[in-house]
Amino acid sequence: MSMPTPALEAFLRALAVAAIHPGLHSVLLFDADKDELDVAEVCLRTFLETFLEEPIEAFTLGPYHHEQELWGDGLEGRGFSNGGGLLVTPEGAPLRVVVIRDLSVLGVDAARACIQLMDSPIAHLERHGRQLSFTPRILWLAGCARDAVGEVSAHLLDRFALRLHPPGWCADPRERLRGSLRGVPLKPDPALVHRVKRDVGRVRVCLRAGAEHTPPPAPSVFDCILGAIGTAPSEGSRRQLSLARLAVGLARLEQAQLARRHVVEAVELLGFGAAGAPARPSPARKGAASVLSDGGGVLQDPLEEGGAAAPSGVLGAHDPQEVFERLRRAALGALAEEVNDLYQGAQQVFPVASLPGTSAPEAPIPLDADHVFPEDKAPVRRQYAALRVATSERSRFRGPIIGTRVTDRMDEVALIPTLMAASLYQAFRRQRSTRPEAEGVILLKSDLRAWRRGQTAERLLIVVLDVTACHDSVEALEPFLRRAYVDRAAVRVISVGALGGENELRARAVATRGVLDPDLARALDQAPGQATPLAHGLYLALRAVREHCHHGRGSMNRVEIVVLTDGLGNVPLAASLSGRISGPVAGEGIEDALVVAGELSRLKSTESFLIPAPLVRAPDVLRTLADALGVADPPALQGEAR
Amino acid sequence: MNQDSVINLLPYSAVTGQRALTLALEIAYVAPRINGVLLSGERGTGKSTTVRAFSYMLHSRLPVTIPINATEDRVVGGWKVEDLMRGEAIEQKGLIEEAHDAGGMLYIDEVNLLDDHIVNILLDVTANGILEVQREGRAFRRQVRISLVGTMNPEEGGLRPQLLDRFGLMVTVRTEPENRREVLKQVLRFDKACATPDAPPAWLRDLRKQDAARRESLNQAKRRLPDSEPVLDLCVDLTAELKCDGHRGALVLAQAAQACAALNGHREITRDDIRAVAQLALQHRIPGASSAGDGSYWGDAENAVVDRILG
Repeated sequence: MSMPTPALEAFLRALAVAAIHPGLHSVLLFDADKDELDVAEVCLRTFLETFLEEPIEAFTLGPYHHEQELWGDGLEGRGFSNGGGLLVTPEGAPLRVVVIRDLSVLGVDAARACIQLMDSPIAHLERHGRQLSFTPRILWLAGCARDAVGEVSAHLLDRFALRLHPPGWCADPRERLRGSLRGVPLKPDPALVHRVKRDVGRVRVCLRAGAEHTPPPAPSVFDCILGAIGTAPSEGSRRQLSLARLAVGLARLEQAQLARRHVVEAVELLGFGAAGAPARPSPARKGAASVLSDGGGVLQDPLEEGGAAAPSGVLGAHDPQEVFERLRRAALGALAEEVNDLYQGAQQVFPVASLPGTSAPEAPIPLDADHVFPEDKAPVRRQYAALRVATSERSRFRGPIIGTRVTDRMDEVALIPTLMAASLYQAFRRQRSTRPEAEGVILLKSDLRAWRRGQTAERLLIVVLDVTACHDSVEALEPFLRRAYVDRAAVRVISVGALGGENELRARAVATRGVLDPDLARALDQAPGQATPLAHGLYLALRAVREHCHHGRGSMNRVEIVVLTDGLGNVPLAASLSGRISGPVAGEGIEDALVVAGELSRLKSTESFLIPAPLVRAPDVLRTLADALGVADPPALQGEAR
Repeated sequence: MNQDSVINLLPYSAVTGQRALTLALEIAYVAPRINGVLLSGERGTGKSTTVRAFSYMLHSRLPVTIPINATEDRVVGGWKVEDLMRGEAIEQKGLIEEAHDAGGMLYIDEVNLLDDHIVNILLDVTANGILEVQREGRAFRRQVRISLVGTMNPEEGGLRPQLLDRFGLMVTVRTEPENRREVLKQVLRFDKACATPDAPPAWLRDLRKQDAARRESLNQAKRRLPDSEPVLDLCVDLTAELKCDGHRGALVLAQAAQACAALNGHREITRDDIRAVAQLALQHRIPGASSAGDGSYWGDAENAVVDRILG
């Protein structure tokens, strides 16, 4: 089962360039599934082995790899097979292809390693007695769903030099399904792979012979590159460099001098799939002269070759501008110029300088930056300072394991790391021991190691939202939510008076992992109901604080409670707890709310804030509530409502 | 990578633009008591490349570097592991001592990603000038003088105010659109040279010669620092007007102006020398700068104060 040929050839050429150019040893495939990643990995290894004439290692970097595995622990050769580190490539080590199947779930240790190693001529290893400076010999291949780029650090994404889109499945989904059921893997056309591999081999021979003495690129080539990618001040130079290097690589594959057409082809490769159509190899590369006929003025429409339906046309029979527009849409600026050259001396049929929408007469069509760099516009869905390793005293028993640390407490000893630390000193200690023949490990206090754990939330933001009065005022929460994002706080939303639900006499609590949790937005966007069980809402807040801070190994050390209300709770606490109203209600709802607010104000490590509703019908009630909560800076209230 | 194999390092003289960045590095070298430089800026602006090139230009070696995943034993020193496992206890110097021995520069790439406990060690050593070790059976105390050079991308979070203050100078590195073409040309040219490492082209050899000349001029500047006494009042006035915390700002400003004057061949420090270094020395010390964590609070208002004080 094979991929469509024209798209595949372009894809393979891009992978070949990645293999031969060290500056492009980081490839990101958008929306690639497992099979497509596997194909890309196999092709890359094939091209690398052809180019370098040495075996290539490969492994998959998963979300579970942590520092010890990535960088090693100095125990290689002592019975520990990966003591050297998966990402450490000392001099003489084979080049490694590291595959990251889903960049959006890469662990923080691995992401930090990528930052250190990608696009860097040198890396430093300074761990556990080991000191090594080395040139990273790694080619990175990662997959990421376009929709998930907001979850990946922009700093990390910027390190990927080449962004490609897999050519897509074969046209018939039934054939694809049959193939999957039979276990037939997706594979590229072997003849195509062989052709590209042969080009790679030629490049190797040429470079080794020192035969690449091409003159510097013409200024127009740089115009092309700079014109292709937006020049927003904050984008650095990496994007232009990657485009330039891709163009250089394409020229090398052809053993030609770098020209504008290579830039055009590079733009096509990067912008592949922007319009949902497979890329077409540039006819200019196949020799523009073959497309142009002679005599009679009949010209085959270059768009017809392998592309979307476009009827062949007679040049003279069509409006030249219309034909030229089609050439422009096909990113064939070079071809347009060559056509001009053919009519040199006569009238200019295609006045290049007057191309609508082009900023410079020789610039290719700018690539669709939003398509190639989706992170520029994608909503941020990653933690604040996502590449930082946040640890704390409170998270010593919780949170994911991210490494080891020294400890002097027996209640948190990690057995294996402790034994590994002790193993370094066994020979030394036995020499000096009074009983060197004794069996077992000689263990000292300095060997004790504990697991180092990633941070769990230590701060809790509780939002008590009186939906009946404030359902349109949630933007007032913005500073609190921003702080919660920076602090990686957990967020609990308690909705008071929301429509629907099990019982409108009760408030509803939604616990979220943080500001990025989609449940948070839903909890803040509810329609108002009839009742306002404010006392029950504050009661749920009280319970949440006790649960997270004061019971057992409570992990929270600081809680912020933000109450958005007009203060007019109309459901007694007893009614909320029982779920029934047994008789007429006077001011019990307000009185109960004040009592619970008083309880909240007496809690340690808790700070309360009050945001008044847009319409405050009883300012005195709200002021009393603010006092009961112990709000440090009570809000200024508007006058009586009209 | 062999320290001598530097074909993959762009020469310092090939760095295009980024004048503030190179000036800060040169000033910190000419006047080492300034205690280092923080380079904070956008991705892909050549921060790390320039620091490595600068170190190689000066010392013919890469800078002593603390990677963000360094363990404590490598920072403060420990034992040589291979020898230890054979039963021999041979001390291994840590990176702080190595930097002190190699001229003082200690480089931290992505400094805002450094582990907290390593940051605490650096804060302690740079504040006191003393490396005191009591761990793993080693006990010693040594005076060290190091100059931190850090690079960071502020998108990944700022620095603790205490660490921010340890850097004498700070540069906010930005993309320079007017230099994009030249940067592209240089890098592509360099890529081509790297592809044939056995035959470095003439232009690369010329750049290395320019590096050697630059090193000599920096060393000469180091030997002819003018007296800073005449401009101290101006420096104090400027830092007071900008409401900088403490006295360190005025001191660093004076030292930086001194170095700038020496680099410009001035026998005395001029107001233009002070003007040239004011933002570098003070932008991370003005009110509000530390809350951002990257110090990027310098704007037109601050420039206006500089113009008013310096005339």
